[in-house]
Amino acid sequence: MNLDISLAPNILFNIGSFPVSNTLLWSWLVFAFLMVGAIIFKYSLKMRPGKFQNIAEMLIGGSYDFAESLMGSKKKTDRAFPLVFTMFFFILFANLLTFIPGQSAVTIQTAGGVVPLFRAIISDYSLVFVMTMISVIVTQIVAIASVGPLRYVGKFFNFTSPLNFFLGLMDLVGEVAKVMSLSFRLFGNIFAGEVLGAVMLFLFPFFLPLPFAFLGLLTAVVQPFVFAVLTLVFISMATTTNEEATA
Amino acid sequence: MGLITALGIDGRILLAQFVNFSVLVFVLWRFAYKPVLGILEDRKLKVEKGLDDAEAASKSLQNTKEETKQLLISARQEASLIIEAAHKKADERQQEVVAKAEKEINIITEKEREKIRAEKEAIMSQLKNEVSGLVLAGLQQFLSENMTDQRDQEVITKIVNNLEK
Repeated sequence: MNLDISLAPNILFNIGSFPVSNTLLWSWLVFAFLMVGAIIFKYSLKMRPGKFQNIAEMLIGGSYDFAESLMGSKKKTDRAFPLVFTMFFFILFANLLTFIPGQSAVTIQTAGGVVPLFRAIISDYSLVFVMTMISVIVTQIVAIASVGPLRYVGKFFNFTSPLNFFLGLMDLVGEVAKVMSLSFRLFGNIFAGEVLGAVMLFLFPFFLPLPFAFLGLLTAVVQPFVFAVLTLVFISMATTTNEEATA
Repeated sequence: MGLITALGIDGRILLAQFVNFSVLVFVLWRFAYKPVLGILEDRKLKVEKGLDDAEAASKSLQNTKEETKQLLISARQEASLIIEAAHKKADERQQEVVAKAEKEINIITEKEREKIRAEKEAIMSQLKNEVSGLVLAGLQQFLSENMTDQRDQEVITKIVNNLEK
């Protein structure tokens, strides 16, 4: 038995020239499951909720109130909430899915060798990168929309004093670094959890992986929250102009 | 570039996942968040309305109680007035009846008395007649048996003497 750790997801098969990896396949299944679930959920909504609806209401309503307390305005929250909560919920769901036992035992034979059929969706950098880019781009759009394009550019290229110019450049670097920090935080945590679990399982399969599984569970819940809240904070900060922020 | 290959990043996959994720955001927003937030808002409004209604109901109940109380008090007052009036009327009527009865009794008594008096008189006159008849008859009989001319003369003289005295 050898331990094979690859940073990239394993390719299962190709549709034409389009490579379908195990994470891509699972992300599609999760997308489809959540969409169908949402549609079914919508038509089973009742004014007097059942257990499931209660939980969903608590989750969505509570998150909305939390988002509103961060954003400070209902209008802004209404705009940002669908994106941010979907990020949170999708990542959380994808992470929790990896705790269904026995997944790593299922492997299939492909052109590239024997690969596991399942892999944590968030341990594929592509999807994390996509979500991060959405988060950062939306933040920039919101910033441009709320302070105007000239002042948006002026924030990064400020010629009023050498110090301000330097700080503006630092802001620019900060925006780019945001992409890295946001995406690698999530990806790194989940990937590391996966690797750690695999290594522990490889070293000694009984009991030893359990504490790490608990740690992984904590990560699986905390990281989506961090990702979503950071996005929310970025958007919230982008809606306040410099004057408002310093005043 | 090495990192990008190592991470397995492919432009087409990025695009596909971007589209997928966008669709997911839309579908979840349309079919999960919006209805749930709507239902929460509805329920909040309903609860508020329910509380308001309950308050209004209890207020109106209070009012009704107050009204009932007032009504009872006024009804009691009215009832006592009516009873008093009825008592008064009954007293008046009783007095009237008693007075009338007394009057009638007096009339009847008077009539009876009159009748008795008339009867008494009739009886007395009859008695007188009979007594005088009897006396007359007795006298006649006595006279026819005891009267002589001499005696008659004496009697007449005596009566005349008496008259002269």
